[in-house]
Order: sequence, then C-alpha cells, then structure tokens
Amino acid sequence: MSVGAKLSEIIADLSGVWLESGLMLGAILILIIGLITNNKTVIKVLFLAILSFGFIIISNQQETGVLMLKSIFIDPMVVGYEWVFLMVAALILLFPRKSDHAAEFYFLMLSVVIGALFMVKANNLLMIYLSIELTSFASYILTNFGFKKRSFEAGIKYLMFGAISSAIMLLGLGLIYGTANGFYITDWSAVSFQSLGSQVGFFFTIIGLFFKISIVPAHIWVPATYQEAPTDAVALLSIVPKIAGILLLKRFFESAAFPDTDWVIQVTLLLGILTIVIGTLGAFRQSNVRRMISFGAIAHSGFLLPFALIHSETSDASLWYYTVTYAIMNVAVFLLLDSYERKKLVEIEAYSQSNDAWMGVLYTLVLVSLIGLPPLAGFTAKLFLFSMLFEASGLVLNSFMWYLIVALIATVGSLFFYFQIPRHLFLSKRDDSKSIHFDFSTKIMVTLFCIVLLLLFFVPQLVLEMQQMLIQRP
Amino acid sequence: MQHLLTYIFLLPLFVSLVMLFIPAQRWQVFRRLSLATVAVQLILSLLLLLAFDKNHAPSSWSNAFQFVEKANWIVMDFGSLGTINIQYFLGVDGISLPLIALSTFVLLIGVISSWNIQTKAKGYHILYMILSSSIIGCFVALDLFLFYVCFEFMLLPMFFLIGIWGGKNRSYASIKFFLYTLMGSLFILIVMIGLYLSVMDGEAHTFSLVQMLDGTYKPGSILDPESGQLIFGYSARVVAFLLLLVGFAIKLPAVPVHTWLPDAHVEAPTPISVVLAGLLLKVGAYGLLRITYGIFPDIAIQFASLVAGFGVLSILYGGLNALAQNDLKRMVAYSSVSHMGFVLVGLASLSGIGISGAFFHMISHGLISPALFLIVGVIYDRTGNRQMENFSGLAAKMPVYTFFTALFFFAGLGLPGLSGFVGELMVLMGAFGNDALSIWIGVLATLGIAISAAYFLWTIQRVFYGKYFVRQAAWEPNMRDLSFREKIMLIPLGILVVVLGVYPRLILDYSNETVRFFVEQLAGYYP
Repeated sequence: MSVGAKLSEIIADLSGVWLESGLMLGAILILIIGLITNNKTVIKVLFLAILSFGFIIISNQQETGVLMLKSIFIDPMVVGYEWVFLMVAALILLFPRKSDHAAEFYFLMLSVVIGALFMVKANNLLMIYLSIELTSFASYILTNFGFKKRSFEAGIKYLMFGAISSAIMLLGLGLIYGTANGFYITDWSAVSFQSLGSQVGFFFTIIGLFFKISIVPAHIWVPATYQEAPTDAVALLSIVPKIAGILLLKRFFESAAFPDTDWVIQVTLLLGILTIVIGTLGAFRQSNVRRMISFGAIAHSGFLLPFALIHSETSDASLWYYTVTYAIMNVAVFLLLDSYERKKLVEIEAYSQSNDAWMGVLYTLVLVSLIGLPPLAGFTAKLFLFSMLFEASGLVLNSFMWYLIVALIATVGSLFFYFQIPRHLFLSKRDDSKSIHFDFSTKIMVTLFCIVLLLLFFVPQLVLEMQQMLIQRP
Repeated sequence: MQHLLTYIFLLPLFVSLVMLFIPAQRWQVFRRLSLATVAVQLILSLLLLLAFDKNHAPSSWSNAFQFVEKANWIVMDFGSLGTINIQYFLGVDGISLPLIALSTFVLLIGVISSWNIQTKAKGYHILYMILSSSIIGCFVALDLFLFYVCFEFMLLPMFFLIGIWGGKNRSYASIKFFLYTLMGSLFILIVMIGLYLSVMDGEAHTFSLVQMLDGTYKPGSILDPESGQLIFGYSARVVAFLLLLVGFAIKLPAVPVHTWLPDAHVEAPTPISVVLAGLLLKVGAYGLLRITYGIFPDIAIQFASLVAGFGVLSILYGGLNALAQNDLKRMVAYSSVSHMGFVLVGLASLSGIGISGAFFHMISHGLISPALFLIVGVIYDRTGNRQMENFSGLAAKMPVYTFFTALFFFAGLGLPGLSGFVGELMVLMGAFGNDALSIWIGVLATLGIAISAAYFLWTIQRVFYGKYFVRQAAWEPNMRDLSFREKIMLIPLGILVVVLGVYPRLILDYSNETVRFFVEQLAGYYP
C-alpha cells in the first residue's frame, strides 16, 4: 500500500473526530492568546469563534459507525447531542465574568466539552476511561476558580471522590477486559456478561459513570461543588457531563443486553430510586438557594437514569426532549441565581428583600418548569418520562412501576422545596424590602428562555424536528 | 356562533396578556377590564344556553356534544408510542353547559367582590383572568390532555391569589392547597397516560375524551376491559378508577382528603373564597362525573357502596365540624365539605334521579356557597374579625344583611322552595332507590341535613338574635347595613336560588338527555 493511500485512510479515520480535534486546537489557541492578553472580551469572542467553527464541523460531519481502529463509535443520534453541548457552552458566555484568569477558565470549559464529546463516542475501554478523566480533571480545577478557601476545600473533596470512583472504575474496566473479552463496547453481546466476574466488572465501571451523572452513592460531591464553583462553570457541569454520562450508560446497557431481571439492572434501578429520594429529601433542609438547586439537580439525575435502561424509540425521543428542556431550564435557573447573588441575595430567606416582580415571575416560571407543571416544557419532558416508564412497567417485575410512583411523589416534593423561592419572593414580604434593580439585559435574556420553555410546551414537535434536521444532513 | 366556546375559553387569557402591558399605577383599569371580560363571557354563555338544543338525544358520546370545535394541536411521531396526537377539542353537553354558565356568573360576582383590591391590582387581575380561563377550559375540554393542562394550571394562579392577598397564615395555607391538589393531579396524570396507551381513534392513540367515553380500546392494552391486565396483582381498571377517584376527591374535597379546604378558605380573600367554593370544587365534581364515572362505569358499579360511604362520611364529618366552629368562615368551609358529600352519594346511586340530583346540587351549591362567603366577608370587611362569639343581635342593626343571611342559610340547610332542597331531595331519592346501597346511606345522609339545620340555625341564633352586641367599641361605627355593591352581588344570587328552588327544570331540562344517556350506558354494565 502506498504512503498516499495509507495517509488518506488515516485522514478518513480521523474524520470521526474532526470536531474534537478542532476544539482541542482551539483550546490551545485560547491558552496561547491568554499569554498575550487576558482581556475577557477577546477571550470570549475567541471562545465563541471556536464554538462556531465546531458548529460548522458538525454540520459537515458525515461518518457514522465504528471508526479509528474501533476506538470510537458514532451513532447517528449523537449529532444532536454534540450540538446541544456546544450550544450550552455558547450560552455559558451569557454569564458575566471578570477578566482575570479568563483564558484558563474558558480553556478548561472547552476541555469539559471535549471530554464529554469523547464520552458519547467512546467505544473501547481506554477511550471510556480517558474521556471521563478529561472531563473530571477539568471540572476539579474549575471548582477552584472562586479562589477562596472554601472553594479550594470543595475542589479537594471533589477530587478525592473523583479519584476513588475512577479507581473503582479502572478496576471494573480491568475485570471486563479480563473476563468478558470485550475491549470494544460494540463487541459486547448477551453472552459477554454471563460470569459473575464480568458482571461485577460492569457494575464497577458504571460506578465511574454514576459519579459523573451524580447517582447515589456517588453524588456526595455535588452540593459542595455547586455551592463553591463559579456559577457559569456549575451551569455547564450540571448539564454537559451529566447528559454525556447518561448517553454512555445507555450504550453500555444497550450493548451488554442484560436480561431485565439481572441484578445489575435491579441494583441500578434501586440506586436511581434512591437518587430521587435523597435528592428530594436533601433539598427540603436547605436554606441556601444553590444547595437546594444542587439537590434538585441530583433528583433530576434520578429522573434521567431510566432513559439509559429502557431501549425503545420512545426512550430515544424522550431523552432528546428531556435533554433539550433540561439544558434550557438549568442555564436559565443558574442565570437567575447568579444575578440574585450579585445583589447579595444568597440565602432563600434573603429573597424576600427583593421586590422586582418581573424577575420574580420569571424565576417562578423556570422553577415551575423544573418541577414539571404545565404550561412549560418541563411538564412535557416529565410526561414523556412517565409515559415511557408506564409503557415499560410490565417488563421488569414492576420495577418501573415503582420507579414511576417514586418519581410522582418526588414531583410533589420538588414543588415543596422549589416553591420556597416564590414563597419568599412574593408571599413573605418583610418591611425592609429594598428596591433591587436587575440589569435590563438579564431580564431580556431570562424572558427569552421562558418564552422558549413556553413555546416548547405548546409546540413540542419543534424539538423532535430539530433532531431530524440535524441527523439528516445533505 | 361558530367559535363561541373558544371565545369564552381564551378571552380572559388574551386579556391577561393585554394587562401585562398596562402600567401598574393605573390600578382602576384592571378591575374595569376584568369586569368587562367576565361580563362578555357571561353574555356569551347565555347565548350558548339559548342556542343549545336541549332535546338532542345522543346515541353515542361522539354525537352527544354540541358546538364542537376541533383542530390538531400537537402531532408528532414518537417511536413506539406511535404518533402523539393532541387535539384542541372543545364541546359542551347538557352537563357542562350549565356549569359554564354558572362559572361565568360566579366569576362576575368574584370581580365585583374584588372591586376594592388596590394592592398589586395588576398582578391580582392578571392571575384572576388566567384562573378564569383555566376553569372554563376544564368544562369545555373534550381532549383529556387539554383538560389536564387546564386542571393543573388552575393551581398556580390560585396559589398566588391565596398566598399574596390572603390572611395572616396565607403562606402555609397556599402551599398546603398546592401540595394536596398537585398530588391529586398526578394521580390523574398517571391514568391519563394509561388511557392514552389504551384508547384508539382508528389506527392512532388518542387523548380524545369522546373516544374514551365510547370505550374504543386497543385489544389487549392495559386498560382494555377485555384484557384484564393486572397492576401489582390488582385489576388495572380498578387501580385506575381508584386513582381517579382519589385525584378528584381531593379537589372535591371529600373526607379524609379535605384538610386543605378549611385552611385555604380561611386564609383566602373573600372573592377567592367565592371562586374556590363556587367553581373549583365543581371542577372536582365534574371530573368525577365525566371522567371517573364516564370512562370506568363498570368499576363504578362495583365501588358504589365505597363511594357512597365516603360521601356519607363527608356529610356527617363536615357537618359535625361545622357545628363545632367558632369562626364563621371555617363553619361555611366545613358546610361545603358536607354539601359535596351529597354529590358523592348522588353519583354513587348510579340512577337517573341520583345523578341529576348530584348535578343539580353542584349548580345549587355553586350559587349558595359564594353567597355564604360573601356574607362572611361583609362582617370581616367591617370589623376584621369573624368569630361568632364577638357578635350578637345583628338583626336589630343590619336588617337587610340578616335577611340575606337567613335566605342563604335556609337554602343551605335545604328548606323547600329554595335550590338546596331540590338537589338534596333528588340525591336522597336516588340513594334510597338503589338496592345495591345500604339503607343506612340514605338514613345517615338525611341525618346530615338535620346537622346542617342545626349549625345554620344555631349560628343565626347566636349572631343575629338576642341583644345587640359587638366585642370592640371600635367596630361600632362600621356596623352599617349592606352597601350597594354588596347588594348587587347578593340579590342576583338570591333570585337564582329562589327561582331554581321553585322551578328546577330551568337547569334539569338541559341535563336530562345527557343524564338519561349516561344511565342508559351504565345499564349495560350491570352483571
């Protein structure tokens, strides 16, 4: 074979990772520019330019299937999620940020996104491990970007839990390699995981993913990290790695094809139920808005988990809808949280000092969507989730029915804690309420988010049509 | 005439959007706008009443509804769930139409009653308009999804209306109301999903209530009566029926899930109490009648005694609680629980006269309870207090007020010639006439009427008779008789209560054909 032919083969193989390669080069470029200037506007524009470049690559990307010596696998569905990840990263720019360390910050943000992109495509055990570590390491450092003692503490905590779960995962990957003879996910089949050793290996491996998705018991880092990390970083961390983890988990379960009664499935379901319960109960006791939202996010991980276990077209479509609305809701809620914190309103109690009705209405709408009440997109997302669980309920010894019941009760519970915020905003007016004014631009932004959430309730087909449009490229 | 239902349904929503852009300082604009909107709704509903064909005898649910409007809302291809098809599907029959007329009327009374609300008038009237839309939406929706959205969307404006403009303990009461009713809604949501997966319109799954009432099930689906599927070892249809029963019973409310109601009423401002008692409870009753009983008649027959038992429990427990209250508003709130028990008993009788009675009682209570809350509001507006022990002999000082109080109290306790009597009588006839129900159901329900007589009459005796007395001298100058605005609200309610008591056919003529068809359908399910 001539050198030219070999070269073009390599380039053809690389075409599966053009996006990641491009973003990596961009990330390095940010670092280099950061040596020259730390002006936030320059860095932000550069970040946006890199992301736009990424969008262009996505729209031209055509390869699907197994690529690069089988180390990555591109599902046609992946394109939509890549698009969402980049979109979330772009929305993060809406958060105000000071100039110092801007270059490093956006470099790490890009690293998280790159890691997540690899996660959804990873096909061999090594790629899985490396992609997860890439997101994790960037996240540890991002947590520290408050440069306070407490954020350092949170960062260390996060790192410790990360290290432990990554060690467990590595052990699991080793076990899989040794017993299941399955270095590639696409080679897994129903026979791969029949021995107990391989099943244990599988379970250890998904614990590493549970850490990313924040499933109990690997959720402990969440409240501290969410509380101390910069808000824009939290917004990204609460969406991108979580969704990527769910997608990877979904492929795990799809390929391993466990029988529904297998203990791995049962234990995973049980952990999911526990996640919902602990997230909801934990949120009850919080007096700090961020911590409350973070427990809410843990509960949402529990809601996301069944998508990984149920394999049907409904599940695929529902996950896509859930992802899009979840991303919008989370960015919006963190934008609101951030703008209130800038006015020194950090505790839930303190919210009664604010008397800006319009911001209050927007806050309430976003929270209503997080709870899942009509007429906002969060309701439709939950409706799809419940329908999927209902449809699957006959399958696994009624496990999904139990899941459904817990999810329903947790929805009522989430009303209770999320509505602490509107209660303090509107219901318990104290005399010392100052007039706090928010930027007009923030109001406009959040209003737009709310309009989108309303729109996606009334015309949910838009989301699915968008996916079709992204998948069917010329 | 063609889109009359849409106008009634969406007009307030549109007005609330307009209100958003009016500056908050001009608070008088909002109440005028609200009044105009609700007045237009009332006129439109009167037009509907005139144009409605009362003698239309349906042969199946698909031709039972009039003024039908249908358009596709959400159509999307959704994997193994098939094409999701949600329709904007409106229509009325002999049961929902009078309820719509009642709603627009009570909403009008509510606007007049909130005439003096100045604090945050903008927010108040926007929420009131949204509430108005969602109440009407529940009665006109023929698509279960649309119904559910309206049903649940009522909670949000109600939460804020109680929570912001309510009394001292409003925060607790409003969140309690929200949590209880949300729990109920979620039960309904689950059954809605199950029904969606089971009912077919041709080849596609559907949310259409009409198809669900007609029972076009997909063979072998979870709620198909023929398939006999189980959930946790119980028949899926029984589970679904019970979930719906509990879901709507919370809204109704029936004992033992009624505890949110007294709190919500006590804390709510008068106009919101009016709407809450007059309409929101009727939505619960309507849902029970249309959805729970309409879609699961076979199960309803099996559980007649249970439902009637809870009805009687509500009548007695609500009545005894009312007897024990010292707070006038709490007393009226518990009397609502007691009255709603009659609706349950009437439904459980499953006979033409019983169901007509339950329906008539809904309308009648929808007129009486707003009046009762207005009456309590009169005293509260003047003194900021409503403990019975603080007042006595008011008849001497406020004769007109005493007259109206007596009128509505008598209507509440079921004096012949007033509307309360007709409904209770019909319900009792239904209960005694059904052999499947124990004779005790009827006997105890009758006892409930005696209890209601006791608490209403005792209240009159304590507060209005005897020597004139008010607890604090500061209240003295405020103890004027009814103002013009209060009369405007109470006189029409009084006239309607008398007219319906003397000539109940005014309402029953509308519902007769629908109820007849409903009972006819039921007959097919008796073993």
